[in-house]
Amino acid sequence: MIAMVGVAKRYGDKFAVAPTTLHVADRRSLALVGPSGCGKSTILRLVLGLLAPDAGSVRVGGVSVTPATVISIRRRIGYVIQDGGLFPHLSAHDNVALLARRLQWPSGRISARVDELAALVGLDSTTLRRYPAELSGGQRQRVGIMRALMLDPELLLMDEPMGALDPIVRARLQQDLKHIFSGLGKTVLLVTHSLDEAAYLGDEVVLMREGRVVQRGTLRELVDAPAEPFVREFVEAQRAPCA
Amino acid sequence: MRVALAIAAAALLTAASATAAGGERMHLRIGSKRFTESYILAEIAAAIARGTDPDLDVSHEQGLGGTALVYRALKEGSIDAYPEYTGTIAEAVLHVPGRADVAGLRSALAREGVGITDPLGFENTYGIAVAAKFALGRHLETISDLAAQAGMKLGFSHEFLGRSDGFPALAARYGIPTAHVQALDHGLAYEALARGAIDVTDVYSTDAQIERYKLKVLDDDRGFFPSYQAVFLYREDASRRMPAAIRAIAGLAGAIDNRTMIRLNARAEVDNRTFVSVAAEFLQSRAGGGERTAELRPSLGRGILDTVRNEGPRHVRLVVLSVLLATLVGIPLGVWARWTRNAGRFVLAATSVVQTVPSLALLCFFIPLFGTGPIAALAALFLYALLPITRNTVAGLDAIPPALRESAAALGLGRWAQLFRVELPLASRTILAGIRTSAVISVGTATLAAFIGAGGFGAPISTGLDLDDTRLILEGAIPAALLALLVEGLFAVLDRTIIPRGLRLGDGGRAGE
Repeated sequence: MIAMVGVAKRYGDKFAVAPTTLHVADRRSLALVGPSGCGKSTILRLVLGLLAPDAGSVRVGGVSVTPATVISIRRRIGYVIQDGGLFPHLSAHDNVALLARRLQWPSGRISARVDELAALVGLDSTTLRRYPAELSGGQRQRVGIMRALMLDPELLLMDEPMGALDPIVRARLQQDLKHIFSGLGKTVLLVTHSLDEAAYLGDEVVLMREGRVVQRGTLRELVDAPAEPFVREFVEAQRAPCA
Repeated sequence: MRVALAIAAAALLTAASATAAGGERMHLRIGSKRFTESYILAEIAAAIARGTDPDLDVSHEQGLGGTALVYRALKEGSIDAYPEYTGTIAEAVLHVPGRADVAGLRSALAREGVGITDPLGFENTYGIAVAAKFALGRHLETISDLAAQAGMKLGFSHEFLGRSDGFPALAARYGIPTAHVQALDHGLAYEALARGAIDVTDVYSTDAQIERYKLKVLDDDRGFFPSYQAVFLYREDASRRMPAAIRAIAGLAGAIDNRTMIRLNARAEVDNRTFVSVAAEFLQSRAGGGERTAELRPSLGRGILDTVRNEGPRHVRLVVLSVLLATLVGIPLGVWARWTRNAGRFVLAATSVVQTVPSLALLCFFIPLFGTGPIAALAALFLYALLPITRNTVAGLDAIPPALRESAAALGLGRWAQLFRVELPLASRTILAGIRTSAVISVGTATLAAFIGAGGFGAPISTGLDLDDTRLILEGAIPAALLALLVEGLFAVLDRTIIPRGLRLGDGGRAGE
């Protein structure tokens, strides 16, 4: 589904992403973890064409990401960011329906799809009539997920989707997301700083550091066979408070 | 001076619009400068000209400005005649030194296609005045008599003391002792003289206050002061087209002496008569008719209502059109400035520079391009209104959190859809605030439009400033202030109705402010 080959992105003379090759297979979920500034969010932006790579190529579903293809590629991708990224001037419902309206879906089809998604994420229609400022953090995030799923994209990109939530809300949303992922059979690329979340939501984990991939595998593999000392360090730092 | 220029421009504007409406009828336009005497003389000339031919359209283009502007209006044909002074013609128009005689001026002006009447009979120059009683007691007739006196308390205006051709030169010519000379404001000098605080002061020789305070202007027996004899200037072609009217105006020669002019000025300034009625009064007494009750000026409340009725539509039209145009141009300009960072910085800098140009200067700047009148005023107001709208558009777009901008792009919206569906709505509150600022500024600045003849609430203000008439100023200022409040209120309502409700909630609402 995603094929990044030799992709590099630099800011000034510093690599945000060093030449990296990364493939994500259809219907698989991959979690990118690593310390802040390791380049994991940059990977998502490169896939979306929000950034142009300095080297290498990015293909999504077999189509190369170029200025000519970027709009149609983005419509095949759902993108969820921290706190939902909802537009404050539109109600929750209108945020979800914005693109479908642009594409001139008939209104019956729009409302049927919104109802379906509302049931999926567990929101009622009263909540959807509210504006983002009137919603709780968890509700905003669920609306953001609805918006990302509206066109039924093959690929979901999520950047710290749980970043702004308190632990209880976060745990519930994590469970719901896992359920949604497995139920819908989407390809997922998730960015998080939490190894637990990565392991819970991702079939595989990719640990990054300073713009390059350190190790890719299951959590078990990272724990049992760390590729370099940094992997153990990162794993232990995250485990420590719970030990 | 700038104000004077602006006013002249305003007069030109009304002249231009009058031309358009004129049709087949002959039209005589008489101009005036911005002071009482000029207004009265122009009204007298207008009334006389009307008397020569009932089919002749005669208009008075009031208070066009200072000498340069009014003379230019005459040369360019915006007006056909106006009252002027020989000394001014020599010095400010023809730039010839020394005392001017009418014959010499006539031949010089003929080369410019301008005619000059014989002197009307009075001079408006600097004069030296004392209280009439004081003059009687000391047998003062001339300035030489004054120089011979000892122990006089002299009090002169700052300007007269400061000018090289003022008091220092006068004292040297007549041998007046210069010790114990007091400098005081011209407006206070009359009171000071009346209360005996000073004995002697400088005046303009036809000043209305001369009659009010019973002063005597001493004879300039050594011919120190330049000669400022009143005359009318007219276009030669006007005297060909409307010979009877111009001949009648020229017939005023010798008809108005200093005492008469002082009395007429006092009728307007001290007794609050309208210029038209002062002119009518003069013509009746000249024709030997009986006294006629001149109409008093209406009350302030009435004056404000008249201003609102007569000038309100023009003022509102100027404001609405300029702000509308500035909005139509300012928002796209702001978007463009945001998209193209360097060009954008240039655009913002350029509109800021425009903002620093004094409003009147900007108004005057457009006169050569658009002539006087509403178009020039509209252009200036438009430029003023442009900056707040453009700047707020840029600021509103800048204030959009990067995450939202990215969300809009990542959703798969095209560039224009991002702009119209997301960015402009998010910036709408800030943009509206910019339009409000522009509208309020425009209401105020539009009062200056009157100075270049575009009318509006500034019309009574500019006349009031010329005549130092506070009530007249208020008749324009109060409606302008009320309109500004109305505009504020209107935008408060707009903010509640057209801004998406979601932006007025919580953080989203303040993001745009």
